[in-house]
Amino acid sequence: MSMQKQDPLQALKDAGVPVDDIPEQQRAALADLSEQELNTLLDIRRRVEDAGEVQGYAGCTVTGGVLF
Amino acid sequence: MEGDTVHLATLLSYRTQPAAGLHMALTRRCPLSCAHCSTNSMLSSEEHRGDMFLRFVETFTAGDRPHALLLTGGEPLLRPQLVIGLAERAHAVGSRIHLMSGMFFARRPRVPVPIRRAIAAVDHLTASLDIFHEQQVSRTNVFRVMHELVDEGKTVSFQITGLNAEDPYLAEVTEDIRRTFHDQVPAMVRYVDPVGRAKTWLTKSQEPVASEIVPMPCTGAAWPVVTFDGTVVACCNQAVVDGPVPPHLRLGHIVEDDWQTVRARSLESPMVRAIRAFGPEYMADRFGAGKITCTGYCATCYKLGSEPGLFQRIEELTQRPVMRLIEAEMATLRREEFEGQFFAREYASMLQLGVSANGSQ
Repeated sequence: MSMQKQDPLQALKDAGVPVDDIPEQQRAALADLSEQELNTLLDIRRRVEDAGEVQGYAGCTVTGGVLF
Repeated sequence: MEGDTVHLATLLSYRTQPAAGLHMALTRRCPLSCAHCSTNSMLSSEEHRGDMFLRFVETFTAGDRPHALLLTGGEPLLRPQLVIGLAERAHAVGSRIHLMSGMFFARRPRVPVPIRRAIAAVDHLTASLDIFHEQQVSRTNVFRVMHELVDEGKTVSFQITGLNAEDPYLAEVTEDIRRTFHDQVPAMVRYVDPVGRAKTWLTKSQEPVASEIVPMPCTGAAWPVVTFDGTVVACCNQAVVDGPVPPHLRLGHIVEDDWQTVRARSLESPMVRAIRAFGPEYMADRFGAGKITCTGYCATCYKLGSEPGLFQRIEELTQRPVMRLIEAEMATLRREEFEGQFFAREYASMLQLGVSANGSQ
């Protein structure tokens, strides 16, 4: 059985993205998202909502003893 | 030309913005031999001709230049005339100059005139202070010089390194800084990593491997880095700076390229844009073909170039309008999480010392 492609705008709306408030041009771009792009955008949405709860990466050591 | 005054908080505010600043490693040489030195610096280490750094900074223009030029090493104050020359050129187009030093000259009763002039030419000086530096330059002497600079109106800060959150040295030295400088001099506090000379004595568990792969934006790829030999890389990880540089992280060379070219590559390279937005593990996991195993954040980044198909998929994504939306979202996240990624959370308040309640400095 083949999976039915999600409606990107509905999926974003379900994820809490205020798609009705987005300008028409951007909404058209969002309606044209591929499955992978939609999944990426949904991952981003979840990640932003979880901001502060995900521990930052460790082990990134920077040049010359500079600490940032 | 005298430098201006710029608080550390202002410089840090640029840090997450792509190409808003530029790291420049002027020399790997250093007269100190700290046990934790990430660059493994010695007085005999590599050092390349100064004119290539000067010529590159001459390509900055008032309309297209980094907001901040961060001079580092090794010990950049081993080349005081070069520092002055770079500061003159960068100031002429409006860039701010930030210099980081191990303060070797504080061992002398008086700061040598060429070094004093070089410090006067920059806008902000950060002094490294930690248990390793203190074995070679006493805290008393470092504080003496920092007091002189503060009295002259120079904006300064400290860079403090400790072993971990429980390290009693960190609690003691930060308290000493707060007391001695009346809560007016900020400090960046971080833990030592097992790189350079620290690799020989510090054992830390390997880079953590994420249990769940989520987008993790990379601030390390925000500012280009001019390495010791003039190669420009997209990332401030010491292993990348030391080379060999993975092709997807090489932005050019200061002998062949101007700032505008380097900036454009940093902003437009599909791989660098995606690393900044998603982080390497998410890229490998979601856009790879399963050939790249996620073995830690930076370790995975090294391997991204090993799968040609990944580059094509990332390039296609970055050409789509949705990528700009994603980048805007993740830029906000990078700003929010930057301090926690780079500095010890327990001492985050040290970053804001000297900033008044109304935000002025």
